[in-house]
Amino acid sequence: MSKSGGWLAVVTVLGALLLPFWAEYAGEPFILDVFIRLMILAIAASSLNLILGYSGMVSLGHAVFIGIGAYAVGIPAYYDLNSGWLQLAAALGASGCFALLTGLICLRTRGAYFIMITLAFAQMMYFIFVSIEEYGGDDGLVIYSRSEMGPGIDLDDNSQLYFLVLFCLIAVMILIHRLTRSDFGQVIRSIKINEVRMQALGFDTFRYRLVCYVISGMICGLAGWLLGNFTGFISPEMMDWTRSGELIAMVLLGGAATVVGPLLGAGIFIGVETLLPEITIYWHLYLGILLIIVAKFGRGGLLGWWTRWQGRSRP
Amino acid sequence: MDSALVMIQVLNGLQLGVLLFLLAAGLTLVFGIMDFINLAHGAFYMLGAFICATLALWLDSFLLAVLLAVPITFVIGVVVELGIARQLYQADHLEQILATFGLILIADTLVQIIWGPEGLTFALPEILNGQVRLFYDVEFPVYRVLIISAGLLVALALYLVVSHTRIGMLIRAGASNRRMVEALGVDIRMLFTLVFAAGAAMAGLAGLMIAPITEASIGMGNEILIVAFVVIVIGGIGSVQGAFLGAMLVGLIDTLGRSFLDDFLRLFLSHQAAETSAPAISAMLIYILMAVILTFRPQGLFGVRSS
Amino acid sequence: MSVELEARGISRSFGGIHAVADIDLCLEKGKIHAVIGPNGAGKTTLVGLLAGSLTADKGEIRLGRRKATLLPVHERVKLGLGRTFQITSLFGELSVFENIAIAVQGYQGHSFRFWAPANRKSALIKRVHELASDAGLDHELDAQAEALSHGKHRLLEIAMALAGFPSILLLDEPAAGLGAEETQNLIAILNRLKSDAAVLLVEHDMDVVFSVADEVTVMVDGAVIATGSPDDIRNNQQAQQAYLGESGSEYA
Repeated sequence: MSKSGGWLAVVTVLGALLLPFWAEYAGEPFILDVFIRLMILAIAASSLNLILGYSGMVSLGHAVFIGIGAYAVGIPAYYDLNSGWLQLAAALGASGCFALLTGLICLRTRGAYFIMITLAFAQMMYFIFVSIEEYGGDDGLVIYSRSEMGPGIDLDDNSQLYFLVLFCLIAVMILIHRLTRSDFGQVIRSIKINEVRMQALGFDTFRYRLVCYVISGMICGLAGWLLGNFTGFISPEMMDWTRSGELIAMVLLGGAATVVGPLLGAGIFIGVETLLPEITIYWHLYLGILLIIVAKFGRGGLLGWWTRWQGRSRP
Repeated sequence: MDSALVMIQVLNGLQLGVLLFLLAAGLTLVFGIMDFINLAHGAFYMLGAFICATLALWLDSFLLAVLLAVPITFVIGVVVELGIARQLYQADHLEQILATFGLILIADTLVQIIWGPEGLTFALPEILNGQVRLFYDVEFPVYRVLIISAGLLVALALYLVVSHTRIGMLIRAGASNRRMVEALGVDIRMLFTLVFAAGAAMAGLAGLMIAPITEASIGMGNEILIVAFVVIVIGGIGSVQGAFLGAMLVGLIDTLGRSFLDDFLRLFLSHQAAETSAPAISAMLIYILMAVILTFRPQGLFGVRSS
Repeated sequence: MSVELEARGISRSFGGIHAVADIDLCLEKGKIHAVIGPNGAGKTTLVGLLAGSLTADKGEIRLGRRKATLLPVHERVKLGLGRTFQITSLFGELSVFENIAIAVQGYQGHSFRFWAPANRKSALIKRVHELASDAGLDHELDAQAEALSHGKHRLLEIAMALAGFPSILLLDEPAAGLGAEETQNLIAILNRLKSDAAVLLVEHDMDVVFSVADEVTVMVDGAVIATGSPDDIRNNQQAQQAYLGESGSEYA
């Protein structure tokens, strides 16, 4: 990381730490909500980036893990099991298992087939949860208190939830930073560049991609666990394929295969989602146009554009 | 379980299959020949429904509305292909997904601007409103019979075009190896436009046929599109035969599953268990089918891709 | 004389075309076995079958004493097989160092290490430098692989194939596109390689073939039409007619 990048990161983290206090002082508690949602989506987008940006696996069903993580809060809560640790374990365990089982099938396919089969599995889960009346089906599941994390921690206090989410985001970003630079990361990135060559060098590429897929699913399950807590309302909509499309958009808007890209992308997306509706009720139209422009011209997303702009201003 | 009920559900399954085929045929050809993933294909389904509904209300004639709506949707398909799709053929799948996702947002909003947020429905002419007596004492709505017949006719026509005409040969060749066809000096771009627009028209036809039953609504194409994707994965990308077989399989299994799975499960499970698990399992059926087929034939039943 | 690779009755068809028909082949340590033949003879298909990227319709392949006919590529590599590709297959966006490093990493057991930064272990770095200098690439380690000349690409391919101390090497036209000096360089490298491995060399460049090969097999249309020592092949009428043609008279 460059020196200016380092300073920027420090300033951002400091700002993030101070935000709840400022929000209370300024009488704008709503700001916290926006940033909590932003950070949760950044975690989800980062997990997608791991398989999409770094490994070249385009999944159009990644939001399914958000749903699984969220229901891992909702279903135990329905049975009065409110322990956050239990729910977290369930979220990570369930997402990991789902990633493993579907990965075993999906990862045997390539390119377009992979895209569609991940989409299909996510829709399958969507319909399964819609059909389970017990847990609300289409109407969703409401929980009345957030996860209990232990004495002294009360997640029903928004600023405490905020710090938990912030902590998770920073931890995830550090994890991904280390992961992509590790031996494992080297293998994954090289598989994306030339899988045939990797096999000819003795790598069981299927196994590496599967492990990457499972890790990605679990991180996204974590995001779901946080989201379930945040919204207090868990519904199959959370895993609808349009949610998955939004995650892809966030990764590409910010810059794929970078640690910070997904965070930037989530920021842009939430920014658009929060501010545009103030201007027009037909804001989806402009979001759609933005996505098309980014698809056609936005190689590397915001970070890519920034790097190119920097390159131009130097002789 | 009486046989009339089974027959009715089989017919419903065929109806769903026929609609899925109309959607999937265009999708699989566009995908197979132009290597273009079009998430917004469902928009044509939606547009066909809205345009037909509007025309039916203005002209007070269902027949006229259908006869006009299909060509109009075809023309819209041409415009979209020339303006947007064409720019994306060279892009990789990820960019295509992002762009067509954006297109869905645009299409849904445009429909909202033009027609408002509420759905639109229209009444069928009287003659189509009745029931008709088929075999075995089965009474089935006339209109649904019409849908099935229309769909099968289009399938037959498409089959004849694809296997017995020069254009069809180019389509089949292009589906398995696009560059070869280009090298033959065929004006491939016109072929692309034709295929894309034909797909749009078929999707529009499906949408307008279902509209009197379920109403034309914003985003109606998005959910059924996913099922169309399952169909083309099962059938094999680029294959119209595959799309047909896949669509029929999916339509029948999904419909029959939803209707009869709990009866079937009651053979082994308790009444309670069968009733609670049946909806969830029947939701999974077509995806399980897809997974099974992909395990033994990763390229789908009739996959033709040469890559 | 240890037989490192043995193939019997190997066949593979694509549709109606018999790309490789009933081939027997034996690779012994310390020997370079060249396979020559006109384009379309099935040489690269043969390499694919031996390496595992293609599955044989019929026949058996043994690596050492292991039956390998059904093993996937990466398992054969673990049994000591290395290969280069007819069309250069590298990690273009990575540096030369990183290219060789990933090859060395592949040899060093599994890579399920998620935290420590890659390419820092001194043993790995040392090995990368060794391989690079053997291939004459030690001044280019930081260059992007894509940016190298074609000749250097071919050398990098070989360096990567050697990372795993292979006992069997399948080289698919390593001399393709090389200039005169580079070809001599390659010949020197091939002669060095022989002592440690059993080498299969698919080649069009007859200079290279007749300088290094201990045995030559001639393939035409998927079948073997002649096999023997280089001298035998030079004097073989059929081989000359089918393949060496006019250039063959230089060697007669």
